[in-house]
Amino acid sequence: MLFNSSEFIFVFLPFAVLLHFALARWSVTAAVSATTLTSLLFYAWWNPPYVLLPVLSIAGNFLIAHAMRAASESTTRRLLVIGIVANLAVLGWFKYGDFVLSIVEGRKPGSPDVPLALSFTTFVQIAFLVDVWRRRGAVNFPLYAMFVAFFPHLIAGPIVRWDELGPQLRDRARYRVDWNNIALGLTIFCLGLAKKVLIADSLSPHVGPVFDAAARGEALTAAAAWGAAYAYTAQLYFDFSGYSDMAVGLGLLFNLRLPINFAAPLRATSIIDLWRRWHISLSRFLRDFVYVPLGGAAGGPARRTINLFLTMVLGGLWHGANWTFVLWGAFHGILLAVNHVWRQWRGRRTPTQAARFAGWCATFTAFVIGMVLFRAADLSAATTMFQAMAGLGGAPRAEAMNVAWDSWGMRVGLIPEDFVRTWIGANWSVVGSLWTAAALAIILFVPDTMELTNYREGEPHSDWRRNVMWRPSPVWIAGLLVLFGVAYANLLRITEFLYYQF
Amino acid sequence: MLHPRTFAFALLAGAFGLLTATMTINYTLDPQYVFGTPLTHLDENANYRFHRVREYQAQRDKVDGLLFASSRGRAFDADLVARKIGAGTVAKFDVTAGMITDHLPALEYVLRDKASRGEKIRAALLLLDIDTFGKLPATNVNIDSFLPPELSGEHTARFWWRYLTVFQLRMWRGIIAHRWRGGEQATATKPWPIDGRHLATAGFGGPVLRRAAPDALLLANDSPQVKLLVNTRPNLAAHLALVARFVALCRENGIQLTVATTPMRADRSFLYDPADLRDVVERLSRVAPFWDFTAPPWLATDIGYWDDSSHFTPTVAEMMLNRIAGSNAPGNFGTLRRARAEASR
Repeated sequence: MLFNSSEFIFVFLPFAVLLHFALARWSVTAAVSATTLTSLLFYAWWNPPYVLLPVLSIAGNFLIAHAMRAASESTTRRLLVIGIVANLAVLGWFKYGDFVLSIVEGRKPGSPDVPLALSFTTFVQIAFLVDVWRRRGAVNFPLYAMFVAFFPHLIAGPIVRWDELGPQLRDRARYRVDWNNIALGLTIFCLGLAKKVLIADSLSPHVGPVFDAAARGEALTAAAAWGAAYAYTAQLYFDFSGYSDMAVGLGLLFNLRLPINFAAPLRATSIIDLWRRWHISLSRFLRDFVYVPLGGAAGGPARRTINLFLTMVLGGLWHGANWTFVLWGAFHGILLAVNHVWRQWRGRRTPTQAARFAGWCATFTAFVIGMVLFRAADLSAATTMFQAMAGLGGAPRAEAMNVAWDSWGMRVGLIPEDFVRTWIGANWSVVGSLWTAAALAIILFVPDTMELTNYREGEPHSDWRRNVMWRPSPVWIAGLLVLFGVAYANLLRITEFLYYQF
Repeated sequence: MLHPRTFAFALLAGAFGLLTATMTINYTLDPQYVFGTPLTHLDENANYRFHRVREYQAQRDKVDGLLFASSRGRAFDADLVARKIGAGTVAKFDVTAGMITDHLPALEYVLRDKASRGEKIRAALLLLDIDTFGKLPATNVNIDSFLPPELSGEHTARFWWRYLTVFQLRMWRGIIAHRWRGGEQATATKPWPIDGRHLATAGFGGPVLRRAAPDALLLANDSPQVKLLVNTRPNLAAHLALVARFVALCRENGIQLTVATTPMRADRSFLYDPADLRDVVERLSRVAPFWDFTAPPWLATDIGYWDDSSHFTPTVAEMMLNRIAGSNAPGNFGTLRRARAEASR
């Protein structure tokens, strides 16, 4: 079941929320257990037999955590290692088995059938085991099961921590209806839904033909390659941040505050800043569980560079078993290293407006280039895209077009046909360029959901917002209903969230 | 400032009001004619995938022949098809924008149904459209193209939920406007907005119609303009595999299968690269022998044989059936194609 489906919005969600609070009046454990079960039902909607995987995983991790509490220091450490290895082994089996075999056999990796949510629940549970190892606190099974299975974050994050959700789950006051949170949650959910359905899904049909053509090895124009790269960047941002907004909104309906995942990352003026604002919950996991254990910045600049690089490569690989993701991670590792060197050389001088603008241009362009690796089907397709972006695509004049977006404009003379055939090519369009420009303008100039609603939860660096603008007012009701209505009108074209594949 | 509870209730009331209104309108107007309400009837917006299954179910005990086609198959008379392919009663599965992705589930369903009743299908005619073969199918994409639960395997509640809750303002407006005017058919309405990936080729830039003789309209313009659209065929290999599966199923069940391609009017075939069309024909012939009904110029350019740019008339359908049955048919129309390996066997 998807957040952007009518059965979720009108049937599952009201049922789950009402059941939770109705049972909470009677017993907190009953409410927690019921929400865990509805969350597993939510998961099973996708593929019922696969629900066994999170069930077994939750039970297994809980048993390990339970054993760790009572064990001696050395045994606890061994149990922690066993738990982490077991979690990673399951992830590796499903996600990286074919990739490793492909390296051994010298062939192209296939597309493994990875169980939904596996990548996210693996990280959530590893973080939990480490937390138990550090604190040795008591863990209650129903609370733990809900912590992992809670459907708002189950499929694609945010990657929650036990130390931020556990205390909330234990707080009995949170099992009473809080209309402030419900009003705010509905608002954030509507805004996220609109981002996903109205913007991300509108960009998707423009992005696909160009990357598909690259995968077929067809020559592309520079405009098509750059256009699709920008469009995909915007699509991914609106898709994933829309999903994350919906998750936060859903959490609030249950009186739970989930951490934010995005803090207007595409306005960042450096790549370091960008990674503090993009997929924040993954960044902090990688920082705390990969970068810091590797030594972090403790060993000096050279060691930090190596650690950063390794962390980002692993982060890339987490997104998928494909060399494109490995290269994407490595690319960002290099960018971060360069950024650190630059900062060291520059010192603590306050940048001028012009320097900030230059920083934004460089950061954004580098990120867009990286997105080509992220979206391309394989390295060959990525190479085709990069060649085209460098003006070396060698695309001939398009005699036949593969997309029809400009046909009306050409017919009525608004769009010069010769310009399209020569400069845009068969797979991109002027209409696609305009949509992309509009989406980028929204990214840059319209306040973000969390900025609008003043929702602050998670990392300190996500506290960057300006003014509180949201109020429970009639104007907001009207605006949200219009947004919801337009999104609802487009719900038949249900598309999965891009991050479901990871 | 409102109280948060008022704010939340107002939002929920708006959302659920929208849902209730949508469900009421969909049930009342029934744009895809799935609820069987009296305001609508089987017109071009109906879900033919749903209706053809219901029609089959209504006469399932008599059916021993099958016709699978896109909407082009509507030119075929079921009784005539039955006579020509050697069946008693033919059930038609001619569905809007139908492709092998629709035909194979329908065949599988009929075979399951017949097997459960201890009955058999004797013959089948499979019509494929070369222009759309291998492209992204409409199956389960547009609101008028969802397979019924018997074919798709999805839960019945999901199927009905979708038709109750889909927001289709243009359809509603069209139907109401047409009823208001006292029209019999809601043909002015367009189907549910089609996903950009499924856009059909736009029909401009091709030959122009002109009246060449008092009783004939010919497609003129001998200097072809540049083609605007040639969609790629991302699913060609997958669709060929589905055809192979279709052929194998017929063979396993002792069904006399005839495969044929449908003819295209000149202005439609103009939009396609001839080499691309030849390639599809060639690859299809490697999967199964089939009757290639590529329209010869006398047919492709005479508008008298066409209802519109895509659909031919019953006269053409009859010519095709005659050719398949081996009786008289105009020259150059219909060639039995089989791959060399197949022919030598």
